[in-house]
Amino acid sequence: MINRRIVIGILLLTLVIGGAFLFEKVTRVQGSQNGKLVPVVQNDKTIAYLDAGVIRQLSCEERELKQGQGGSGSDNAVSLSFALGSAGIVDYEYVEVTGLGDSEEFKLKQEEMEGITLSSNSNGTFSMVNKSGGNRVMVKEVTRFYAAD
Amino acid sequence: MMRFRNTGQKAGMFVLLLSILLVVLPLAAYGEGGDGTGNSRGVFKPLGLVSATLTDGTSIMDAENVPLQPEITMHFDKNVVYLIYWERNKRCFHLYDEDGQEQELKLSKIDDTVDFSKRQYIWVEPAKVLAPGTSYTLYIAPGLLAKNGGSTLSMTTNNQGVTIKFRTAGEKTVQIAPPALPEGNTPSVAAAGSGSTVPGANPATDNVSLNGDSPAASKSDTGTTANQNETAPTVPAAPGEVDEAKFAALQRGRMMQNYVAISAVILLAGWVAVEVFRRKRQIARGAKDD
Repeated sequence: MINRRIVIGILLLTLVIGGAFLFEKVTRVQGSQNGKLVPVVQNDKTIAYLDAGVIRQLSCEERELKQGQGGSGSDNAVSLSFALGSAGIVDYEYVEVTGLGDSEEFKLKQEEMEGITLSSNSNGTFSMVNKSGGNRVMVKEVTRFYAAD
Repeated sequence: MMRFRNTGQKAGMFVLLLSILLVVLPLAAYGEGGDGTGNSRGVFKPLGLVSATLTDGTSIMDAENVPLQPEITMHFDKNVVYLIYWERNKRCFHLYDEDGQEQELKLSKIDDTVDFSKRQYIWVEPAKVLAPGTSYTLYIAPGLLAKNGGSTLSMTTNNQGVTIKFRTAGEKTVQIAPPALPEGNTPSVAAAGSGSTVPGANPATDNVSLNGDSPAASKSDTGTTANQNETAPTVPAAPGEVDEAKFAALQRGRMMQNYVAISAVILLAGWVAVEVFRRKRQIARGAKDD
């Protein structure tokens, strides 16, 4: 009787742990497809994941750091270079930004990133906006960043 | 009916104990080797440096003969690579040469959203090749922040940060200025070595070499830590120096957490033992009755 309970307990734990891993994997794949979890890729390796919540937190962080330096950041938007730096991207020639569906793909060099920000949307995705170009939305729902050396 | 109620109670007890175990054990494990999540009183466990090693595993602290382009693995005891604080943390790393000149650093991490096991590591590399035979100071500012947003390096370094000194391999390179041509054809006695780029260095005649191995300019990158506002401390503090009272209080909290976890395990083990014993006695009684 007790042996059976132990076996059932172990099975339950295995199922819970296995299920958690499976759930995480499925969530990541789904999130990547619908733009809610955006992979940042460098050298064909995913180095970080970004989502709308992270973008919001990063915007606060950037604002705080800029205020410390006497500057001021914009509300609810983080500069693309700050976000990529936070993700851990170093040494890249250009960044390829892909959007959901058939939206345009952008290749941006470091010097072209001035004024380009990421802004969170209400549906859990985030967009890429050109602040210096009259707040023009470049990519409505970002799905992937690819940093090329 | 009685038997059913008994079984129900037992099942309830089992679920309760299992819940306690499942809740408390990960907490203890997380607190012990994890990220030092603060408790309800807002007390955070201190963030400390565990080791700073070269790629071959040797410690870089006070090391001699360090390669000219070392990759230093900094191991901390909490998550220091959290995306939100990464830009802030990058600014805490500084490398100074013996003249106090700041050198550019390249910092890298493996994000915890990709590989959770590497969350306590930061890799530090000078952006340019270091000068041979030169002393360098790697300084980590006390503001280095863990993922929990409350644990800082200041808590284990008495607000001094960490200072690591090391010396690069090889002989010191000095640059000799070309002898100035004397005006009016006066004999030149211009001192060779007077144009040394290393102030304070004795111009050794045997080992003087021209600046032939000057570092190549490296690509600028977002991981460098130039233009920092913080300055190196005048009194370097060894890692592990702590504010005793604060640290003791934090240690007590950690011990308490461990005691709770151990008690839960003992409780569960005891309950299992009692169950086994009871079961055996019931079986023995049943056999006797038969």
